Amino acid sequence: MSEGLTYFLMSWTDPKLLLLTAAGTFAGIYIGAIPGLSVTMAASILISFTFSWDVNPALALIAGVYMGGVYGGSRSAILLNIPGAPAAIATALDGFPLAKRGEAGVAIGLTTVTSFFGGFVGIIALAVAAPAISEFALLFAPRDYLLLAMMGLLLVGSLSGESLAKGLYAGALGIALGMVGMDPMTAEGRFTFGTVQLMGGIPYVAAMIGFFGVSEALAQLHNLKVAPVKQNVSRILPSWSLLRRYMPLSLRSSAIGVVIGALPGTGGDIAALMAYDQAKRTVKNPSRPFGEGAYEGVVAPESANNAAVGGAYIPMLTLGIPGDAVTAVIIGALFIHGLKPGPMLMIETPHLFWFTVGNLTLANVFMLIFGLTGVRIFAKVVETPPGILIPLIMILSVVGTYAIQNSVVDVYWMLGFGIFGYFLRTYGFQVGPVVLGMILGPLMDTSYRRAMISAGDDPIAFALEFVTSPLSLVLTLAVTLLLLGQTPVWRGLKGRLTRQG
Amino acid sequence: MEETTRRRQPGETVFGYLLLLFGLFVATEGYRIDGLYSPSAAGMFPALAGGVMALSALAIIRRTHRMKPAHIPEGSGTAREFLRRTTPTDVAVMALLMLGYMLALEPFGFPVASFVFLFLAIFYLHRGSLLATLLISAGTLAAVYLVFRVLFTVVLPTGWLFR
Amino acid sequence: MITRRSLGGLAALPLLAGSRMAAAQEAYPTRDLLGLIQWGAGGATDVTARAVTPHVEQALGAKIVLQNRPGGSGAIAMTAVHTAPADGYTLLYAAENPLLYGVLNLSRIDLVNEFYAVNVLARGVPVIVVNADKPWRTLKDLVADMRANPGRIRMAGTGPGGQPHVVSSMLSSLGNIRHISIPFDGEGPGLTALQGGHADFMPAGSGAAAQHVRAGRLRALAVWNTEPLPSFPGVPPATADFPELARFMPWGSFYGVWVRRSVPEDRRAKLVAAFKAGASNPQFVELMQGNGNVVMNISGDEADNFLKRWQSVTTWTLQEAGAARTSPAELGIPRP
Repeated sequence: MSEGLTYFLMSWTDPKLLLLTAAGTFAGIYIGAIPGLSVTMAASILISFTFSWDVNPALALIAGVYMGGVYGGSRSAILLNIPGAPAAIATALDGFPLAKRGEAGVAIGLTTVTSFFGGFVGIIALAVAAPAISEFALLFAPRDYLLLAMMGLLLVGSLSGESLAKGLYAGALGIALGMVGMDPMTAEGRFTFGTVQLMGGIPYVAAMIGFFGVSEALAQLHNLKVAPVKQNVSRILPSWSLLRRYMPLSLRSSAIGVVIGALPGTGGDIAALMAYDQAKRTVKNPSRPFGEGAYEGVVAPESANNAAVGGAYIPMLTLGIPGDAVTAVIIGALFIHGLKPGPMLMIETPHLFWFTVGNLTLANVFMLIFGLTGVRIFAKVVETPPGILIPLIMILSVVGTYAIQNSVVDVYWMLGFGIFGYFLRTYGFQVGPVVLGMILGPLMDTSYRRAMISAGDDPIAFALEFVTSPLSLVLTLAVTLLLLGQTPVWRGLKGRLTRQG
Repeated sequence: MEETTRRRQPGETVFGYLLLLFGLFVATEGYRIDGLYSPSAAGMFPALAGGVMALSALAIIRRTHRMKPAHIPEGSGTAREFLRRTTPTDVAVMALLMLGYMLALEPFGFPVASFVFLFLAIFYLHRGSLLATLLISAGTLAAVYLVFRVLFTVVLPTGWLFR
Repeated sequence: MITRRSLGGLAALPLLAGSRMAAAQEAYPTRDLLGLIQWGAGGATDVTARAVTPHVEQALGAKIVLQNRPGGSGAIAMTAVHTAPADGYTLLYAAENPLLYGVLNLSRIDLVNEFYAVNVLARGVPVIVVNADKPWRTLKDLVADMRANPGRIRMAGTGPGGQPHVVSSMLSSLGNIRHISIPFDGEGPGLTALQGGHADFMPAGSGAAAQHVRAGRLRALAVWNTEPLPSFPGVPPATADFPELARFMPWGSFYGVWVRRSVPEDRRAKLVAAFKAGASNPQFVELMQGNGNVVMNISGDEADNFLKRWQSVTTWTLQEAGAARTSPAELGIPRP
């Protein structure tokens, strides 16, 4: 244990590592906040950059970028309605309405503190229960991923805007858009119309920027004459009583984040969406209705996505299996530095585990510090005259989309989505389900087909598997209950039961 | 939750039918991927998504019909009202500006195209002084270029017209 | 189509040609190069590319900006390099996949004809691994079980043309073998599913499987080679059980760097020299061998011969397994 502590404190006591972690976290916040710059991309650039270094400083830098980056996405989501990273999509749903009410400062303060809390829960889970959680994560069969994706998709029901039909349309549209490109399982093109450019699919970050950022910017053009809302920045740090009130929600959301983050097929984006859905279902009296600036609507996703960071490290450190795209890059970095990521990593290089835990903790602390400084200046972004802000949002959307994979075609998609999203908004649709469908659609499609193939393409054997495996049974029951909870049948039944009681 | 009092927006009916057409298109294209030859076919989800789109578009159209029609003032038609309210000049101008910007991106290169776009857009929307617009555009562009090109080595289009 | 501009360019050509060529000879590279990686961040192609490039940069005296451009089984990146100017400033970091685009109808651009192999860096050796709880101890056991229970045993695959697909097709040439193939997103996810018991066996790259085998979470039945591998002590070659498999070998995925064939000869030579030096760096060699790869470091004709043989063996195997969408004969690929 004392040895573990020494390794844990390594990056706290070595000034060079301390500085690198700080620099990484600081940079990460901005990488996360700028749409199109992703932590995955930054981490792979850092691998070339830190090539000739020792492994520890390289890992310290990457851990900082990762922690900061996942948090940073909430900045632009709150201030501009452009989620800086997919993990911040759910944050935009209530964060941006908060900014429109003049509470950008409060929203940033609250997300920072809850991100810190979530990050901390993730790190504790990593430190205490890593082996158990990673064995649990291995139990998830393709059909269980299908059930998880279905659970996430139920969020469409609560994000549908005027009517369920509109939500369903938007969700299905998102699924269809997510299918575009080469089918990873058969190598056939789907909706590609014979072009190579479409083979790569439509990156959902382009859709995210278009549907959220550009369509909102276009909609804002209607209120050019309206003076921007004055931001109240007198109090940034949320009060203790407010924090205590959201502690249980934050803890629940963090637990979701850890598990979803640890699953090799899912990451912070899905964790945040599921946590948001969970909050919407369980919080009886939110500070405001969800979607109109509920504090709960930023607490839940932000706790979850930072908890997913620690979660993603769990299978990576214990089994050499990446929990998400960023940890996949980190595995590559370990390889290049001559380490052998895998189940033996913790046995052969035990210091690495505690070093990483210490490092993440340090990055989390820096995230809190950097996150809470300069909020007043950031909140003023919303006060910029719209005549200047809107062109800035547009140019940022263009260059951000281009940066995803250096493709002008993606930029066209982004603009197309922006204009289409503008009409959807005008006619009472919500754009959230489209992006939700794009993220979850491919996961559902591949998991369903994998499950069906492994059942020998036999629908009956396929259906039986949902009730014969204990894990699948639990998930199936959960999906069924959630689904019933949304339908009138259940409400009627519940009403009758309570009357009898 | 349900906002039944909203009036129909100009163009909403047409939009509903367009959504339906798009849904049917997705469904048939999805079916055509591989003719759904097995329960794990690649076309399963695309066809299903298209089906859901088409069905919900029908429900949307039905609701739109039940709404009170859009308020159309004397001497104006639906088409004109659509242009006035749904796509006012500002929206149309900005959308076209952006389209032009994207088309210019590759031939003229990122710096030139972005600068012209920023300058025109800010000048049109903000209507500030010429000098201020010039400074804001140049400053923003420099910052964006620094972050993306220099720090993150994103290779931005350099333009082939001026090579 | 002859436009006025291209006519003008033609007229100016004789005047400029001499000086331009001389200039090109002494000054290349004068700016950063762009390296497009066919696969996503963190994969084997990505790791290999990022491990060799810093050494190459030193030898070349210029920076190579690396970018992942995944999608379409790598066809997107290849098309992008193919449409970029043939000035030697755009490199393609690819794996074996482009050699199969023709038979899988993914792209009509042929890697061997249209691109010049700057360096085929290393090749991997497939290893047949199974979930540690399964009863099979040898490749023979597995094959016997597959014959006894046709269509029941589940292989973790990576999609058509992927390494598991090709290896299992080669294995099927033994006759009477039918199994389920579940396509996962890549080697890593496949190995993960294997450990969770959601698939039964997988032919995986030696690098990806080595650590899981060493930890006893997976069992290696055979290496897909005619000789044992040092990184898998005690694991017999597949030919020990089935000598007739030797005709396919050596076989495995490989990683390399290409430019368009029309890049000027002197520039190609500079690149070849730089990559040769980079791939000889002891640090890189150690990394590759540690992962169970075989360092090749070949270029030009030697690489072409390797690629042609590989393409012929693989495409005809796929054709015989009924997995080719366009016959290799139609594409002019000779039978092995």
